[in-house]
Amino acid sequence: MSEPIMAAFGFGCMLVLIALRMPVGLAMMVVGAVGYYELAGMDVLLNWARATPWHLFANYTLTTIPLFILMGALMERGGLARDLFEAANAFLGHRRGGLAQGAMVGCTVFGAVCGSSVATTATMGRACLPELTGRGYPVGTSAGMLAVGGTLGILIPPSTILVIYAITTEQNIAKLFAASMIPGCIAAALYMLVIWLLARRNPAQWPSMERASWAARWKALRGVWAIVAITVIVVLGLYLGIFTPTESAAVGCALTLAMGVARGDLKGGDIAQALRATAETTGMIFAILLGAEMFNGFLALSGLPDLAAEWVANSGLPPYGVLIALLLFYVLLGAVMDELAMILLTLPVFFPVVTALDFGLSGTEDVAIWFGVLVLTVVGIGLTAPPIGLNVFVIASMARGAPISAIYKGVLPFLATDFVRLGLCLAFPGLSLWLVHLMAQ
Amino acid sequence: MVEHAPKGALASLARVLAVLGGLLMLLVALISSYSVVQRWLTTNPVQGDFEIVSIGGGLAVFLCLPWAQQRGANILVDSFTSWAPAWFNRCLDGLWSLVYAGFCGVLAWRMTLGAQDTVTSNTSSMVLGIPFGWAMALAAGCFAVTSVVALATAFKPAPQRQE
Repeated sequence: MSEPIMAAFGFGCMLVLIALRMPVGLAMMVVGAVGYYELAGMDVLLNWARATPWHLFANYTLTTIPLFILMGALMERGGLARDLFEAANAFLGHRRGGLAQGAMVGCTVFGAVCGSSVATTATMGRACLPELTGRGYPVGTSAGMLAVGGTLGILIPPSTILVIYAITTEQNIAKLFAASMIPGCIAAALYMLVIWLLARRNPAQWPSMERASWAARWKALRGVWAIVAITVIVVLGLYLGIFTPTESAAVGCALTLAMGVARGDLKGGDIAQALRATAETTGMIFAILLGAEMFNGFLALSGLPDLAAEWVANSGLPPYGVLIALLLFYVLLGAVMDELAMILLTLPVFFPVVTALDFGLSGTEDVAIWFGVLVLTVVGIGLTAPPIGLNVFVIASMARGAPISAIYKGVLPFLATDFVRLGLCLAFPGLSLWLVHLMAQ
Repeated sequence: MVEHAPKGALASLARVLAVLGGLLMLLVALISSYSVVQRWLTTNPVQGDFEIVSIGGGLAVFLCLPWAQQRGANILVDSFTSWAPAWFNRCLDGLWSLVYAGFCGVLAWRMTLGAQDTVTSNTSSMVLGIPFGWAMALAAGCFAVTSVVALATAFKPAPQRQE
């Protein structure tokens, strides 16, 4: 059996194991280890295990991930979501569907400090959902809206998924964050447009509140200045090159902790709980990263990714056709698989294929960054689209009394705008690349 | 997230390690932030902050592994086996936990050897000269604990996660 064929066979075996409930990280590790052994022998495999896990985990850039997770966990416990929601309501509440608009603005700002969509959904959901349903907003749509709003956690930088994309494909994290900024804001704007349209069509179900006085508005703003300041420091420091991504996550953690403790929102028990929640998510992510490292080692040895890239590049297929096919594949894969697992599984093969194609952009780096934003968009779709949609499950556990089908129905109009945004980002790479080029100057 | 205090010494150990890992992560964040402030005020960052973050962050991640296994926090795809009876799925999960236990055992063994190499050759980090062999040994220990936890969860699965 030639080596690339063996790799393809291994890939198939892995998919079977995954379908049989084997944890994705373990499946990659098992198949990777067997393949490594076949291609390089037992000695090489055993030597690999001596130091690779250590050097993989004790990596400065990779430490960004647990730090952002920790920051999200501290934010989640720190009661910031409520304040954000109240402040947004003070300004938007009197408009049609104002409470829903307020919740979406809250998600957007929270997304700008939190790198995880699940944490954003959980935190904003806990703060907003009881209020929304209490005021008579339809529970399915409210829950669906918050599930979708949660994806702003990853669409608006910082974003754990983008850090992992950057590390796997050896791209600059700060540039990827910059690239996802405008598409992230477009996402938020389109979601708010959907709320406005829904509220216009059915005003009875989407009541508005009384207009808040300016005194009340300033008071509400005082409750959120700290979170806004943290956002500005973390994001600007990163874009202006004052911090490395790791430092921005570290500074974000330290400031969130300081603010939570100073305001009395974070007590010892909350911090311990945040630490354990961080450990759980971190352990889960790094178990997959270790499996992916093993599996990618095997793939690289087999030469399959290069072969696939060469074949696609020489096949004469239209580059945009290939790209759209890959993105559709991601949407389908997202229906059965977790997003993180999905990109770690596919990137070793897809990334060389895409970067070998000519899209008329000025360089491979531009293609790599643009593709990152596109992948992020489909990941966001996967987080909310039936039949899996992790965010929907998270919100469903809070929306007692709403069947999951009602939440999916609530998600649909928002999901439609995700596809619109995917199309926009595809048609206009400048939406992603403009800020990157501006930053480089 | 509903979380009950875990039962049994092993689960408690995993939980303690998780908190230690979290605390270490917090410490890393504070040191790194301090370095940023130092660099800003005095243009002299903390020497070797890069190394402290890498080694501390790495060790913290290893400390998280047993707790993730204890909590059953694995990403898996259950869409294809949802039709099967519950006992069948439980058997599959137990089997995969055994496989994971085996892999973690091998990794613990190999990394102990790797740590020994690093300690005996006196390899240390570039700037601060931190001899990180001991950290590798602790990491190997974390794999050993994870292996035992996986073995235990193979026969007594973690309760279903409630977000």
